[in-house]
Amino acid sequence: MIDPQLTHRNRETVQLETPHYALVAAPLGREWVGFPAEAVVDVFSPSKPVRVPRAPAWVSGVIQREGQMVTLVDLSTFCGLPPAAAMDVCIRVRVPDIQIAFVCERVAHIDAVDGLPVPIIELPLDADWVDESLQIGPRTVHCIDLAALTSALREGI
Amino acid sequence: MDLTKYLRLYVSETQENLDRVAVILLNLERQPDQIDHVNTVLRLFHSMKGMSGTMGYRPIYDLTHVIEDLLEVVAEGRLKPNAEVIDLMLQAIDRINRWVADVAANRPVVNDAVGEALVSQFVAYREANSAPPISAAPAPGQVPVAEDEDGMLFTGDLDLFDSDSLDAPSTQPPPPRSTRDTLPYEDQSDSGEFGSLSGPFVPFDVPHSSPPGLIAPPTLTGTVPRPTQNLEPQVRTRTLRIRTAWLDAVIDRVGGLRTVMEQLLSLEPSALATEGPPLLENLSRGLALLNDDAVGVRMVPLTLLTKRLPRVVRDLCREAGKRASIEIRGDDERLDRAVVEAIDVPLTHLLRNAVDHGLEDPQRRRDIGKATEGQLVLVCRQERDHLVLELTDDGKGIDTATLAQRAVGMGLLTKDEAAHLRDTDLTALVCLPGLSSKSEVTTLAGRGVGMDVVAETVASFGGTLTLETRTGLGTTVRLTLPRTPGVTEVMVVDVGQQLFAILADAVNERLPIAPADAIDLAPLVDFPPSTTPGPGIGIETALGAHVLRVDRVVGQQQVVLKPLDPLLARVEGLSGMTLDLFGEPVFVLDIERLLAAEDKA
Repeated sequence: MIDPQLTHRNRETVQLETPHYALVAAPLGREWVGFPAEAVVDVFSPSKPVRVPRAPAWVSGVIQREGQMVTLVDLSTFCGLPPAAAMDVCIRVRVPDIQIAFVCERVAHIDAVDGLPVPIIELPLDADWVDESLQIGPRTVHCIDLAALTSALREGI
Repeated sequence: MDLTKYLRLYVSETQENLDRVAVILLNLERQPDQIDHVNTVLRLFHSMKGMSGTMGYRPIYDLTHVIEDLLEVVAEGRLKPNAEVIDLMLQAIDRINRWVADVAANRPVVNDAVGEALVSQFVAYREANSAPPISAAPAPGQVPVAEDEDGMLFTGDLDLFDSDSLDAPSTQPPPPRSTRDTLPYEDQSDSGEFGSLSGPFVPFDVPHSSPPGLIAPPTLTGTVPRPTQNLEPQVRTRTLRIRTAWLDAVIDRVGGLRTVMEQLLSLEPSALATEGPPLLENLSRGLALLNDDAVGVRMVPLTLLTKRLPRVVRDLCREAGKRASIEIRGDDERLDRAVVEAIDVPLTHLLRNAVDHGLEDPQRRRDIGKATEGQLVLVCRQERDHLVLELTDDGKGIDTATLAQRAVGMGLLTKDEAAHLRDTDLTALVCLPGLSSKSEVTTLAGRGVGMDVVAETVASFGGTLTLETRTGLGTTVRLTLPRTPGVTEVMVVDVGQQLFAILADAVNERLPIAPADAIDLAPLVDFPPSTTPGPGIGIETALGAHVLRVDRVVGQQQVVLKPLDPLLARVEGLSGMTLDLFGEPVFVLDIERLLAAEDKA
């Protein structure tokens, strides 16, 4: 059971009854970020992306995937953290009018029925795109609000 | 009975009918003796009334009913369709258009003061000009059922109607009671699917918004709040009607392609070398034809855009106290629907500028020996794979000297440049937002407000805007638009081992190439400066002519232009994307913005 007093963000979304977290997670610094599984289109190894001129450093490039132009985003750089050691995997997510692929070292699938709310330690404090932060098993996972993250990315360009 | 499946059809047909009525009314204003016009308008309103009644949109039904009543008086020759009558009809069209927009947006159709005042106005006109008793708008609960002449449109098809709800269905066609019954309803098929529907009239479920006794007594003048002029974007192509024959042909073509694919897949490896190439060629040809089909279905006639322009000019003139007519030539050309939609607003801006600031008022025109009625001419013509729209007015033209002086004052031009202003400079100046919107001079001179927006919109899908003016004689604004904005001619270049595309329209091969003075493109696109001297490309932008140095010119190609990922929309200097032969993304550069961004940096 989650104590709502302990959740520091978006308490409305925390289920008191039978919480269920279906996430595709990737490491971000020493912690993890979790993308809602229902928004994930696929997980793939990217081909060499095409550089985007005059774009911020966190835009890793653009690739063509299944006829769609997909922008690759390095969330570590966006958060001001050291870039990921390797960028071998991409998590492609769909938000209403856009598809974004987040580059990362590796991916974990989380399907948990419970999690212990924890405070954000490493992410920027103004990361209002984190829906809630949970301790799920050994990992600290920040659940991402994709719409808010997309807005933040757009603002960042 | 579920009528929601007819909503889209209702919306598109009513909008089309309203557009047609508006055009015919303007013709009627000029040719008041053309009774055919009146009959056609009457038929269209009759059709709209029937459809609206069936769908249960009481306010629209009521208004179209009283419009019909007044049109009968006009058809019988008891009232001339003067400007006042036409005004009233056009205001009614505007009101109905807004109700139809409510229908399209799933909002309730609710009567209001404007609607009620319009109904009162029509009734008053009818009373003032009609000797016979008026057929009053049906009272609530007394909507005409079987014996009403509206049954003519809706007889017999019980699929649409719940037969239990019908009151005393008539099996006999009603006797003609009024002019509208004896009108030559020549072609009901142009009412589309609705025209083929028939059945006894269905009573409304929608209550009348106010009892008849509460409606203010009509007066002949001043009761209708004059709506703002009908200058909002009007082109609506959310739905396209396509011929079933076209669809059949496409399905046949896809079937043919599938057959070729299966033949290819079933080839033995040993036969691939000999039998593969002809099959691949078939496949390629079939795909090209399929692409032509797909592009073709997006093409819509320019009349979709131009048919409302006479109304726009009329409204603008009445507001500005001027007189003008517009002549439209060549609008049977077809253009991609996205372009047609996109230039709707810019074209209205151009007309507004022409009427507001270009044309002199009638007295002034008379004094200087011009016809009191200003002339606007819109010419549409094809030039290679572009469509050119040329709007010319015979007004006073742009005061280029004052404009140039202003530009010098703002540091945009040197005195020497101002003394030798070319047409391209003039276009660039007029389209500068700082100069056009803030300068009283340019506004007085006759151009400016919104021209930057026009130029930007046109450029956003690969078009260009140019402008010519002759003091005292008028101005011509020319929009050159790609017919199919998806397919564009680009120059592909290699910079830092990455391919980039530049819109071919911007490339001017006649510019003298002097690589020594060329701007290195590499740093502009975040690559290290080139160390080896590469070829130069002449580029013409609103900022002037430039030579860009690149590592290699790959060549000119036709490509399918894709919009930028929304995430990258704010990255400066990119105008779109395309794919190279290997499916790799290639950015299409907006050189003007790149250079501007570099200057800013």
